[in-house]
Amino acid sequence: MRASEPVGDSADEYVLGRQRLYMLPTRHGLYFALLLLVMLLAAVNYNNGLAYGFTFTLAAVGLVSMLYTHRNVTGLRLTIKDATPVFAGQSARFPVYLHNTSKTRRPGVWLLSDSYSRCVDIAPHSSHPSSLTVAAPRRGYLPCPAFSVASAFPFGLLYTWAKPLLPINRCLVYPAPGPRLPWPQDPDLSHRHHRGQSVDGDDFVGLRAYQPADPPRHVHWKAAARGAEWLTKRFGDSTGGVVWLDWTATHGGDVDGRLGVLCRWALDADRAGLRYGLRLPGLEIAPDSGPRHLHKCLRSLALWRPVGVF
Amino acid sequence: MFFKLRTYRPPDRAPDRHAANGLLLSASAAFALHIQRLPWWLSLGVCGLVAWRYLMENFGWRHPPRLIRWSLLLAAVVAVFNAYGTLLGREAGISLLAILVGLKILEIRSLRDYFVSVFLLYFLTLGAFLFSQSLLTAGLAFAVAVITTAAVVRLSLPNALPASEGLRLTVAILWRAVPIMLVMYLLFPRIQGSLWGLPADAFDAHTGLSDTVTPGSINELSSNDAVAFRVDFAGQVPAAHQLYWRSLVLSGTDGATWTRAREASAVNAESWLYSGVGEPIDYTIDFEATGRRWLVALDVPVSVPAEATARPGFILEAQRPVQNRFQYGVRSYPAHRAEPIAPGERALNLRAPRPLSRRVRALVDGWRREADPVRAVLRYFNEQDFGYTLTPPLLRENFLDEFLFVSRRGYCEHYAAAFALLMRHLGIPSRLVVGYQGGVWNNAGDYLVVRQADAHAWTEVWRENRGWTRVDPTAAVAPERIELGMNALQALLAQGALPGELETATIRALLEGRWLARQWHHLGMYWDAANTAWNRWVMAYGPERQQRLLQSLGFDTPSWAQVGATLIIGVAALLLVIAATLLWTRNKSDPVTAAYRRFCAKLGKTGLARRAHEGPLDFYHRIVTARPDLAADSKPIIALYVTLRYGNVAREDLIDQFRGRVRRFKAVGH
Repeated sequence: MRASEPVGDSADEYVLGRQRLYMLPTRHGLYFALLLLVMLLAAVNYNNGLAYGFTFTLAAVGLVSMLYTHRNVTGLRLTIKDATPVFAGQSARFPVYLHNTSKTRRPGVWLLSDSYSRCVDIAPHSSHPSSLTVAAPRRGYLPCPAFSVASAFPFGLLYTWAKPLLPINRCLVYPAPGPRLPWPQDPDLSHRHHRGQSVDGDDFVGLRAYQPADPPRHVHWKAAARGAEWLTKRFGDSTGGVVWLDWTATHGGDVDGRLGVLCRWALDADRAGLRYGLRLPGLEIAPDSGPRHLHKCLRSLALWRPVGVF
Repeated sequence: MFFKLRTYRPPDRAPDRHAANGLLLSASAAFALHIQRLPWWLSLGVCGLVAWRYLMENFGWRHPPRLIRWSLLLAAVVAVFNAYGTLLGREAGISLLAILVGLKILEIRSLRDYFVSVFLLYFLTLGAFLFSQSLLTAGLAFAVAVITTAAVVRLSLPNALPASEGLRLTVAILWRAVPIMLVMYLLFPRIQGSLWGLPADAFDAHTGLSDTVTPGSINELSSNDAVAFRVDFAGQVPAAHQLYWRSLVLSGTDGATWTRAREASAVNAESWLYSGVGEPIDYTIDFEATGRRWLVALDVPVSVPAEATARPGFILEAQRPVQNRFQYGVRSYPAHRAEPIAPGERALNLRAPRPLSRRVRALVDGWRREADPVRAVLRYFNEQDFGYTLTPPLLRENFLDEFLFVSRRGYCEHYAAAFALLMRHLGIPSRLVVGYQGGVWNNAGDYLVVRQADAHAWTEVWRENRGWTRVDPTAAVAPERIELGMNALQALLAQGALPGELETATIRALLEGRWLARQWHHLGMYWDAANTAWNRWVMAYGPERQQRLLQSLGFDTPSWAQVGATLIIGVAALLLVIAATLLWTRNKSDPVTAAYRRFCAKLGKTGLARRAHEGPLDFYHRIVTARPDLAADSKPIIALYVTLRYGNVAREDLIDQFRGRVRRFKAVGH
């Protein structure tokens, strides 16, 4: 149910330079420091040369690992793109490309936001496509959340992270499609249906409430199996049908609910290959068909704000 | 008010199978390091714990319940207490630590458990150094540390890095860490002594010379192959029969046991210094720990090292028990200017408490009439059927009588004690000297190795005008002991030969080993040479050497604050250098980015600069709007850039095409 049309190409690019990066020891890193202290005390007390050497080796390895942790993230270039539109309730995926222009592999690089974490491993001289996934609960524009790039590679004793990135990217969130309701009005189709149980044409045109007389092969079994109410698939000739999806036909309920119904109708009409138009208070889109038209309608539904009193 | 920094920490992950298996490998290696010290039941138990975890990781065994783990721990603690009588101290401590590591590994569920196990393993590895600081121990322990660290590398990565990659990375980091480690090792302030009291078994129980000699008691040292000390000669190496290393002088005797005489301390020890005769011999002794205070010096020393004091009888004594290997330099002379013997000393060295049996008295009376009684007694030992053996019969009642007339078998202690007693009965002041004789020359390192098995006892007699003169009665019985050394003598004894009655050629034939044995012997020499270099240059680094190093660095009177600052600056400077080598290559960006930058720069000159966060397509739209004349040339460049950058392809021909188009691209300003 994902619309395939990208909204735009606005891409945000970042380079993780030194100024952007912070570093702190992890909890285990602090314990490691404590361990080194205890080992050093043992070396001093027993006046043991090898114990000194061993302790200092581990300490030096810890210090050098700091540089490796830094190297794993520094110089990394990121491109963030707009997410393809989703319906409310789904997850928005913002494509994030991580460009490793260095000749060293960068394993264990994390993309972290408040609600999302993902670990990637970027080969040398390559771009790694990844994504930042966030829940899109409401229709409208969803901004890309602030996120950071972090790594505790190689030992997990230290971790480095970038100053949070605040991309300008956003995701268009269509309203959540409402329940499958019968068409608001379809004079062109209803009279054909009354002619009998054999329906003209093979094109699926929509669904209506199940009636005991409907043939079993026309029952929308998939929906029934999911526990939804029984619906009957209706077939007809896709040419010639024109439907007006009208705000006023959605009968009360809250704004989002009514937009959801319109959204469902638009999707069904598109699937049925119908020409359909959209009427919202203060907005009218002339009947048309095709993916661009669908996107235009859904976008209007996503961004529509009630005007005046209704 | 602090600025609250928002941190983003990669989430902890439970260790996976690969990480656990890596840890099991390193734990096994760490246990192997200690296996000779752990009681067998403990080694078995720890192996069992590791095996259990292995089965859990790879064959789906369940986690043992908490009750079982705690009971195992309790049982182990009780067993360790039973075995050692304490829970403190080195051996018990290592045993407990091994058990703890095993149980902790069995318990691992979270990242925290894993790190605790790793840290315990590091500590267990460190524990090996309390027992041995040899090159071998160091090598093994560092290998264990590398394996452990490589396991940790794999831990931090969800998409498990191959084991070889983790190992390669660990070695690379370790390699870069070496200079920093050296700076810390050399500059970290070393102190003398310890911070707090050490447990009773903090140092090894050493074998070595004992302070008393009782001929006929069991000989413990002859089979001890441990190195007692090594010697570096500055000049000519003395001949084998001159290599008498003196440690103790025993003047007191009750007829059976010889001890250090309390009265001897009344004699002014310093009087014997600076009176050597002949060519001086300068040498440095690399002395192994003994836990005692006696040192060794070639007959007869005339200088006192800083760490030692001179004692009567030309012997050197350390100022505190020797708990760690250390080095000292001495100068000796082959002979000594005679000085009159003090009356007290003369009386002390004539004391012979037990009355002689009748047949011994008859012998002594016979010798008394000889012109040179010393030579007469030696001739007697040589001509009668006295024999040299390392397993003499035990003598109980009257040592002198039984030895001279019944057993006639013994080794150096028997002959030296018997000879000294006879001298005293003949009115010649004499005493026992205990130390080492000989040593084996190491060609690989050009030094002499003296082992515990080279321990020897001989006598000194007072001669008018000549002073204390060394007489070694063992040489009269078994000259091979002195000429060829203890090693050769033992080899001869092992082949059933009788010392003192063999032709030189026969001895050579007997000693000439097989080819393989000789090679093995050579290899042993090289190994010992490597260890010696290690001890001299690495392990001997202590407060004194540090002081010397600091002085050579320009600190006349180094304060700890100065040294600490130098240490920190040195480490920081090295880190910067390593950072530069690690990060320097970064600025050379990849060809695609560089070409795209050139393209943007060309457009920038016409006033159409790309904005910092403008994607290629957005930029293209702006180009088309602002400069429609450039659209046709820009389009393929933008398309190629997008393909190369976001298509996750890196085809060489596309890159070349891209660069070519950028090169040909011309943006002329309006």
